[in-house]
Amino acid sequence: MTQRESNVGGASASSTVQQQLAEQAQRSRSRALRANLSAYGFLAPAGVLVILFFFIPMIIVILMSMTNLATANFTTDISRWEFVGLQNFQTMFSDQFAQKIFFNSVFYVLITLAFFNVGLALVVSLLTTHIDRRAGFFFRALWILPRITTATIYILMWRRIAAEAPQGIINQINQLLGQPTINYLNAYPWEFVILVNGFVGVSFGMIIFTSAIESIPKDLMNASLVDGSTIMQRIRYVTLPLLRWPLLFVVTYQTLSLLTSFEQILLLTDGGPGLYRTEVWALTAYHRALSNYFGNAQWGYGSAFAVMLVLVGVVLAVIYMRVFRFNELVSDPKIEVL
Amino acid sequence: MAGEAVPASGVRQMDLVPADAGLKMFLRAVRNALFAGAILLATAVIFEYVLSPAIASVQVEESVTSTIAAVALLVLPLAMGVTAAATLRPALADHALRAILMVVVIVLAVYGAKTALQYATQSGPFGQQKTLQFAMVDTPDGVLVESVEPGGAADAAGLMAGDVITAIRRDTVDAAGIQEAVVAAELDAPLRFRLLRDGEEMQLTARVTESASVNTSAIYSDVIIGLLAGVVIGLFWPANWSAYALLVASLLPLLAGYAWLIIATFSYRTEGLKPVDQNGNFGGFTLSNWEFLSGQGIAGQPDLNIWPLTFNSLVIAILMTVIVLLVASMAGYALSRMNFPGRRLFLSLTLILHGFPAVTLFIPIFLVLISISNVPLIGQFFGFNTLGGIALVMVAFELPLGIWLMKGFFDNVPWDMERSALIDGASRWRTFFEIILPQIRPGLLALGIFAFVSGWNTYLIPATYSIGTRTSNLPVLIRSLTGEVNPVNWNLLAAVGAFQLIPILIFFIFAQEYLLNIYAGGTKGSS
Repeated sequence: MTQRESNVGGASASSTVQQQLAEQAQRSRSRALRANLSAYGFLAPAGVLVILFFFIPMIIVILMSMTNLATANFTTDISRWEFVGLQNFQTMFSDQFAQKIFFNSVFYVLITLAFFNVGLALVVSLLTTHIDRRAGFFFRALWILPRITTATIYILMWRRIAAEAPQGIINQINQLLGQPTINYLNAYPWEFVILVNGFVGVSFGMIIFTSAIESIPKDLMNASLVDGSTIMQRIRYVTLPLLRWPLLFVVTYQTLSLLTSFEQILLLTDGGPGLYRTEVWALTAYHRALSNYFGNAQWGYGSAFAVMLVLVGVVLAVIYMRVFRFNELVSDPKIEVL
Repeated sequence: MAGEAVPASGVRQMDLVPADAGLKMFLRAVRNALFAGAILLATAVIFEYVLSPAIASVQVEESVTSTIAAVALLVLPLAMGVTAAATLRPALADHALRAILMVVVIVLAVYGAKTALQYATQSGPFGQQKTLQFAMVDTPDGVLVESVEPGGAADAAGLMAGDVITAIRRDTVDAAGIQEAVVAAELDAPLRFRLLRDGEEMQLTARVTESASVNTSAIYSDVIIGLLAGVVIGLFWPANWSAYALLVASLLPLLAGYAWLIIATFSYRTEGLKPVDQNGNFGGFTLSNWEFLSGQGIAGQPDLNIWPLTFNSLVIAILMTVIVLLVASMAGYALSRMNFPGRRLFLSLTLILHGFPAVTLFIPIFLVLISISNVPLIGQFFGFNTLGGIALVMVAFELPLGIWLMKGFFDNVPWDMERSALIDGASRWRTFFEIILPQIRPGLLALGIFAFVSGWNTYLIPATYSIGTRTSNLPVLIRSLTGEVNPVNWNLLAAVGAFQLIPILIFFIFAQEYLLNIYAGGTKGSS
């Protein structure tokens, strides 16, 4: 260090050397600038899309939630919006149905998460990793099917499963057994909403858990085998404790997904039967602003519902980022500046 | 369970009589059975008496908790029997008969207790049954009334022994059909019978009532199922088979759904999974559901043509695949290989957006698309109600995942080749396109398949951001054919659905591994 300093000190006497140094610095600056520019060039398309479809919408939705924008006075010109302050939020919090819809969402997320996205996912991954490898892969592949089937066809199948006799599949079995037939979608709407979403949701947790189980060191398993443990004991004392982290990951991620997903409910029950029986928060935002029965789309009021979800989404996403993989991803790049 | 520790107090007593190892085994089986029963009972009680009222108190109208409690109670005796039998399995090799006997004793005890409980509470088979209080038998002419309970519901309605019932309202019935109608009817609901009395046709109306008759056959069949389950599943069924059985059982609804789709596609009508013809008999196989492929209208709507919609689906999927691949790989490369101010910010942003649910921005994105429409030239291709606009929204939603995945793939590529290319004076762009991109072909393939599948399947975005059929796609068509209350034609719908599903299934068969891997990266939007 000291030697370099003395070198620099010695060179400062000569003006030409100083000039050279300045030139060098400028060249490296311009090179750094060029490198930065090309980096920004690579990022530009993604940046534009993110700004257009994430940032601007996020600002618009917050602005819009403070207006009385509806079909009657709809305009894309922001300067002509009528701002009404927090009136929409006041209406929302005092709306008796909003309370019901809120608890509907909590109920829906908790039950689906517990029984399917985590519960059944864990069971399926444990079962498929303890049978023949190829058979296990086959069953896991089958579980992917609901996710890659378009929602409209998937719902069509479920409607057909639940339909009244003579079309319905369950009711056909009921008839064979001499049981009374039931219009299942009307009688048990929540059961079917949860089943339909749960069957899509299983695959995510299943894949995460399976890769976690398969990465458990063989030594551990062998050690417990030598100790004469049964399958149940191995699962209880070796596998499950090692799944704590993936479990946490699936719970966080799927909570957010379930909270904001409404496509299947929209197609299956559309929030019915009756008044808001299976309506969830995200579906309400959609209904109010974009698909209103009475032809009066309440953009402002719907946005207030959406803003609540945006807030929950941002908070959960930040937590999710803080907890998982962030440091691993932000590690320095391999090639810096050449 | 061989090496398992037994509660201390029980063990010590048992050890004093080593000759009676069988008794020890038996007691352990009883203990395990009671344990399984207690867990299920606790589940039922918690769901029925704690969760159900709690959820009802916040206005959620649901029966899920009660259903779960009912299922837990239903499987409770079965589970107890199977658990006991599984505990006794080690004894099977030496004392098969004794083990079976023990299982039978435990199962009978469990069902005895269950029946006693049902008798005490007058529920289940001892409960009130809906009935019309007359005995009947099938004859070629109709249902012959054998005897009528004096003072019962049928007697009050004027039904007499010797009458021949031909129909309920206008539907011809047999004895089983009458029984079914009675069970399905509400209490005190009127059932109008057509009948023949001494050769004359007449009608009379009987009202359904309830009476406490013991349904003994239900009790017997219950016990027999319990015994079979205990002995067969608990004692002899290999544990490996249980895994397969459970996996198949949990997949049953899905398998039934896809089976229906395939059967319905090729048949005139279906009842459940049974293809039927006009008269309701088995058969009725036809290819007429596929006539929409000719492009001459769907479901009697001549202006609906499948091919432009298929083309739209394809354009959205391909546009989306191309744009996602290009944009995500460029951004992923920059984040993986370059250091620049704001890198950390952009990375954390990508991650936050990866977790952030884009569907919540549906409302404002509508405005963004309309604004893009007002931009000259670009607006024509990427604005509201254009295929480009729909693809662009899809791209934006998939982008955080795509960038994240691509960066991961670039991180795994050794940088020697790239470094030497750069030293030789190639620009970053050339290096990227000619040297690096070919290295991550598997990653591009995976993301490409993923993007294509989600673009081909997208429903919500075209349904929301397009008007009419000009820019809608196949999923939207399927939804519009479903109608508000009843679908126009289930079987035609199934055929259109299968048509949309075929490309996906082809991908599914050839790229399962890619799909399995990429879904671990997380999908957005759907649950």
